[in-house]
Amino acid sequence: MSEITRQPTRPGTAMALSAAGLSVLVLAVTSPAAALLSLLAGIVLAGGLTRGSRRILDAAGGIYVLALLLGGLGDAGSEVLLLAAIASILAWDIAENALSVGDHLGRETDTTRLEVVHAATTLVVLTVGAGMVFAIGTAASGGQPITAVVLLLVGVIALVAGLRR
Amino acid sequence: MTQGFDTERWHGIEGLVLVSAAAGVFMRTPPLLLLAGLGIVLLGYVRIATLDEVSIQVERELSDSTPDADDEVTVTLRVTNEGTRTLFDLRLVDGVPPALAVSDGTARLGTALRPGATASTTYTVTAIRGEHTWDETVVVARDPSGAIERRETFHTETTMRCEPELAATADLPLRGLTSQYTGRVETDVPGSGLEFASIREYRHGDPIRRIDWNRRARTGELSTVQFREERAATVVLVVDTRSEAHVAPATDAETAVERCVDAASIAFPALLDSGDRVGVAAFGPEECWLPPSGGGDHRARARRLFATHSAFSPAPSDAAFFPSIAMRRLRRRLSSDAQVIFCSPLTDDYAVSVARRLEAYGHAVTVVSPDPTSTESLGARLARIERDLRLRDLRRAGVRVVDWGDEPLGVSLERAEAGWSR
Repeated sequence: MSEITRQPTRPGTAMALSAAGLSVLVLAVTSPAAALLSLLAGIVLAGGLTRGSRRILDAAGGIYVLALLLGGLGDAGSEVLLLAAIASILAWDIAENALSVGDHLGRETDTTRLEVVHAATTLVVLTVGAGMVFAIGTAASGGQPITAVVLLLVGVIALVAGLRR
Repeated sequence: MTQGFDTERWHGIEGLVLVSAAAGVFMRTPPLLLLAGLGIVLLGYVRIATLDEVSIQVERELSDSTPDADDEVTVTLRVTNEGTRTLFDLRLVDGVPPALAVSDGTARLGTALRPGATASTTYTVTAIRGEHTWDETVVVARDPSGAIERRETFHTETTMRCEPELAATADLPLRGLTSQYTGRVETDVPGSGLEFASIREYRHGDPIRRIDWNRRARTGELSTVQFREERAATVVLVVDTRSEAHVAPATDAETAVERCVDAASIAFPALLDSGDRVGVAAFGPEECWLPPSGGGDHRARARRLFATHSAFSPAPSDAAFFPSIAMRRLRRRLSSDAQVIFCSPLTDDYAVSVARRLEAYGHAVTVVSPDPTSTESLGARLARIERDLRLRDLRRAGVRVVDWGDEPLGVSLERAEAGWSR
């Protein structure tokens, strides 16, 4: 028992893979091609969790972004895309957290509470954020010039990036 | 207090947001702009994350702070959030003393804590001889998004002291070197005693009881019966605590030092009970010397010494060791009539030379050698053969050797005694 298994924790792995599955299911509603890419990302994510490799997890994150872009460029629809984005970000976040917790505390320690709280916080933030973004998007869907939207986006990104901790 | 540092967990999000926004603008697809919007929300969440100084209280409780050897001791680690903010991500690694092995549960805790809330974990350690002090508890805290991490250490004073009773479970036969006091060791000195030694001509002043009256009746001459005199010995138990002696046949097995100390703590009370004066010395980097003496106080002192002296700690010491200085110091301390019982696994030639030199200086040496070798690999078998050769070397030099395998010490002694000449 004194040995520590420095591998991603089991609760985190289970939650991450569930979120990955959810992402595939949501994308499959409107965009099968993106769903396939998302499935690939899920498999890479599972591989990263088995190997305990941060690099592979990041690769899975990259594939998720590609899947979401593909879904967006196709006709996935805003609601589906936002839901899939929540599921994908959640999957990567939980997986990466499971990796770091496993590295610190090992698989034998009971870390369910820690990881559930982490997952729940991320889920709440993403859900509220997606709701806000969706509401703004619906309200502003008029004939605004595209340059205005671009400038708005760049401005917000600059503002957020400049936020002090 | 350490500053929080960036875990670099969310690096690259800005780029992905811009890529998504650009793709959305370029292809004129509003959903991608919404995706970028969600990315910005996430970015904001990560950027505003803060982590104040972690103010927690760590408590540790032992079910028994003075256990017997091999007792299972339950350790409860309690952590309380004393700050005003919720700690979303708190990871603790307890500093279990290096000599103790966690036998059940883990000495680690991961949790989220509201202000004032307490979380706890329990684990079990198996007590072994010695004084064990817990190291600092390492605490890692992260903000909810995991972007900032802080590492701090908390010190909670906890000590477990395990002092096994000294039990004389085996009787160690001594060699002929003795002091002038009456005791248990049979010497070749003729005088009063129990075992017949010789008959010599009567001299004026010999006790009447010792006159051989049968001979007087037969021949008419007076003669005196002489017995082997029984005297007490001065014995110094020298324990090999050099790093070379910290070896074990398997990773979770007792080290040779542990078994050497066991042997010494068995021999000590046995010798004391038979009236010999006993001392203790460590031959290793940590200095330890208990001068030969007798009595109840001495027994208590030795018990504490074996249990808690750092020289006999189950983990090897980092201090530098100069064998020739230690040897000289040991020689200076040994009185000329002191016998030596040298407890060593004999894993190198230096241990052999120590025994041989002490023998050459006139201290009758008995080596008690726990066998730390195994037969698992070719190298282990080679080490065993080398050790066997060293034992043979010592026996040839006239040193008594007890090769102590897996059986109780008494059994090994019995077997070894059969081969010794008186």
